Amino acid sequence: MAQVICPFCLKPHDFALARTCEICASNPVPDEYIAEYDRVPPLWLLTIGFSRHGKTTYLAALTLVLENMSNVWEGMYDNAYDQATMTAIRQMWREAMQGEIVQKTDVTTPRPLLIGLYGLPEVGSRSLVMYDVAGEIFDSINEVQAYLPALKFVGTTWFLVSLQDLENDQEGRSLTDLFSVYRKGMRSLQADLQGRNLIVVFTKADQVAFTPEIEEYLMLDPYQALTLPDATLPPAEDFSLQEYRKGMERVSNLLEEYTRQRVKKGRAFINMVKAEGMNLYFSVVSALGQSPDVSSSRLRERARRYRVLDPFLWALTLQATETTRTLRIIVDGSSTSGSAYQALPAVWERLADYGEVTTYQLGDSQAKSQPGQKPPIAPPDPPRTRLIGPILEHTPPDARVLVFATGPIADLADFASTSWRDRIVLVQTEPGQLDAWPHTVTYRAGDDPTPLVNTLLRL
Amino acid sequence: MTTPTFILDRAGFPMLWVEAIRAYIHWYPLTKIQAEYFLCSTTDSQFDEEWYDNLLYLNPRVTPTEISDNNYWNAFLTGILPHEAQQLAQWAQCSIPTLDEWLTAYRTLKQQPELNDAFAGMGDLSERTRTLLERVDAASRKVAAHEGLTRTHADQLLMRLGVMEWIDCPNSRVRWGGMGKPAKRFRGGLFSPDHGQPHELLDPETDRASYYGLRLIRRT
Repeated sequence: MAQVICPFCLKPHDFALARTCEICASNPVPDEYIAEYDRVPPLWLLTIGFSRHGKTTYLAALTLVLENMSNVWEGMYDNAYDQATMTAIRQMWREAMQGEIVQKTDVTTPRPLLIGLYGLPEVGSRSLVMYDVAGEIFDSINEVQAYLPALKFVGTTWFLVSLQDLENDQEGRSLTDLFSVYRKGMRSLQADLQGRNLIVVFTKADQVAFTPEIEEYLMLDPYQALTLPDATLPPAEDFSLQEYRKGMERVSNLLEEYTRQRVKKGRAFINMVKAEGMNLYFSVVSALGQSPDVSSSRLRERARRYRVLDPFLWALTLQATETTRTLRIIVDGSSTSGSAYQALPAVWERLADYGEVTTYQLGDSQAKSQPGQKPPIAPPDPPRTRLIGPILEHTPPDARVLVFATGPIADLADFASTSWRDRIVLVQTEPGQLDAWPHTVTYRAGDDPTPLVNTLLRL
Repeated sequence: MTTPTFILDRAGFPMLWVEAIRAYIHWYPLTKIQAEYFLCSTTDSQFDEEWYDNLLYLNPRVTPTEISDNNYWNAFLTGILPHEAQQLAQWAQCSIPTLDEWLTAYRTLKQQPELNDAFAGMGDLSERTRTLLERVDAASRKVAAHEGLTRTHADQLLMRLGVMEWIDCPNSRVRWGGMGKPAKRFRGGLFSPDHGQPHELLDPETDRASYYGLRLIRRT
């Protein structure tokens, strides 16, 4: 079994050793999630938005739509992994059937919905790990830090924004404010934004005067009636995810232009996101197809849901192209390597947030810890010669490698003119310990590991 | 001439099938890179930092991209003692050749011309290994030309102009002898493998000779 990422603490954990994650003992990880991890990899989703911008309502609608997609996608089915998820889905369903609006999220530590989605067209099966986070958290930078380890981990994030509510915001907040809070939060978590996907989801689309092309796209949603009690839709045998994505891309471009031209501080927002090296996409949904009655918080007609699936399909297709970072730490195993082991734990801890970290000791081709296992705490006995070649030559070509050494490595120069040149960061605990290498950092126990980790991740 | 057959050893270095001895033989004497694979696998404490430092003192290491006709012998592991060579051979699932095996292979290959484009058929070599093989080949070719030697298949394998190689002489007065002919600039001397007699050290079990390396065979 692969190392399993715990959906609660978001750290890799070796569930072959223990069925519960030691960090999250009070939140047992569902057996099916663990057992199917290799066959049904996780699809991580995280929602961010100001409060009352329709985030929870949208997630309720998405859950309902996904539950009903088995009616049109041949072979597709879903399965809630735990009781908490089942209860949440049933509650959403009941509220939708009765036309009541879903209550806004409590400000608590996010517990993800865990749903197995099987037989998705063209991508197979995924474990949906979906975090619905209270909007208020994003009003305060301190709360972002406290509540969102998921922020740092999840590569694709949804910004759910109601343009209507933004327009009427009494505090004058804008998209740039939301992004600033997110960016500050990420920086305080020492998480790099480069390469992450940001999907801006304009909610409550029925309330906004979009361009005719965008409105037409919304109204032509083939699955808009899927959650109506008496809906009968023919199986979508010819559904092509790649073709559908082309339509989403076209609308994303239209929405980007709309944002640039018509949304308050929209142009600045786009510039900010792109300046961070993030991949930006736009989507538009109407979870209810109408505004609820203000006095009763109830809908006046059965909810048709427009393009509710799009953000999910964006995440699905984007994650299909993502790969888990393969990271290696190779630590000195010689007789003078003690200082490297003092510096190692903090760096390992930080690096484990960004990918699967395997640890080796120089001069030993056997791994000393697998992803999810802590690194060695002391040099080997007997000590090993500082050699790296037999480790590197069996390391995947996409791996990034952090090498802690307290003296010259005999065979490192063999790799100076290979592609390893730009995939290895050499770490010395005192200046001048090592021979010249293009990426060399001096790091001592107690230093902030952020610059070191960022240097590696940017290679 | 039949198509040469190769296998790769545990370190990813090529071995050539020699029908006359019914065994695969290493293309070159054992390199330091191969020995480093051994060091990274063994838990035997005698092969520690100090052991390898001693060997590097006797014959320094050269990185593959720096190999030239002035230093290509630095690529090979030398200074190793016979009992250490045996342990390395055991790890490699190979053997140290006997005098007969070495001479039979040498005489057979000496009758054959050089292989053209030999590295193309050696399988999935790592970038580092390929660089080493190609640069040693180019460097030794230059030295052979300088010494007026007509290169045969045996010379392509550096059975001459390489290092002195340990051979097993189980029925001889001295158990361990040497065969081969080091490059003059590495180790001068008038020894020639064509005479058919092994080179002998006074105390082969304990004296580390800086020009003594090894080449392994894998019998079927």
